[in-house]
Amino acid sequence: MPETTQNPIELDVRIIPPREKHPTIFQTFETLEPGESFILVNDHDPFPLRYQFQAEREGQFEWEYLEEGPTVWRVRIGKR
Amino acid sequence: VRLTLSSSAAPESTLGDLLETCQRRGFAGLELDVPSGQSGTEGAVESVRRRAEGAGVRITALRMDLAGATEETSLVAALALGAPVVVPLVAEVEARALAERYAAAGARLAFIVRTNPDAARIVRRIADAVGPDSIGLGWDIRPERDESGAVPEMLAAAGSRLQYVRLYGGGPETETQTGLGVGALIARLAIARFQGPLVLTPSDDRYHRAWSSWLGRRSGWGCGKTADPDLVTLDS
Repeated sequence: MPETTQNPIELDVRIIPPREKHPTIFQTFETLEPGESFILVNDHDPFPLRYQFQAEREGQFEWEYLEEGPTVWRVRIGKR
Repeated sequence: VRLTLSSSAAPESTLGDLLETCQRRGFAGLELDVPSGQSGTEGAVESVRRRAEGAGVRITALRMDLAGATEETSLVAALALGAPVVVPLVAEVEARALAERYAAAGARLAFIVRTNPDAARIVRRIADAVGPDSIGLGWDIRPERDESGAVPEMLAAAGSRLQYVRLYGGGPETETQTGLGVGALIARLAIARFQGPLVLTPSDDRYHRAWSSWLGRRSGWGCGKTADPDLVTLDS
């Protein structure tokens, strides 16, 4: 089965250098159409990112925890 | 992507150590980098399969320089582990013959290419002719050499045949890399909905100590929330 079709967008930022993490996440968010979402995978609770979304994209995003540690956190971030 | 550790990242480690590292760091899989000329006995392969399954870690690939003498046992290993054998792309006629033998046996095979869209198109041609479920494309990326502008063309050339990506220097080395941005690369793979293994391996043996330290940590780097927002762009 092809591995690049009909799969959710899953952005794993665990190996992205810290200085590139949030810019990468926001760039990915900007590619979404309203109603679309991606799954963020991280190695810690990304709550500081949520605060940044609240500050910079208030009312434009959805945030749903799918998995909360202890090793991996998965959050669905949707665009309204 | 499914973050996968290559056994070449910790060549002194036992299988048990590698599986424990995958569990602790939340890696989805383990790539076995098989030394040239080896492919293991059937009993050894079965033992690997059982132990990986017991640890909840998937063996995502068997990487090897395939020589004729090991082809049969590599086929057995691929079938037993349910993982593709990943080999360098050779001449097209030879590669197609090899692909046909794997497809006939019901095993999976991926041909490795560097960041070279023409080579990716050759692999697609072989896969289209032989059977897309058996034959895939493996992409070796070297962030310190590859240009970020080549990534979109490579993804377009690979299409749905892309089954495996190996990121040289994808662990502790990314902090100091210049050239292709790892963040932009991973974002592009995500947007392309790639869900195959992203294999982490050192770019050079001299980084093994840094990798050992990085793999020994309980978690990653943190989030760097004060980063420059213009650092990553996906426009090109």
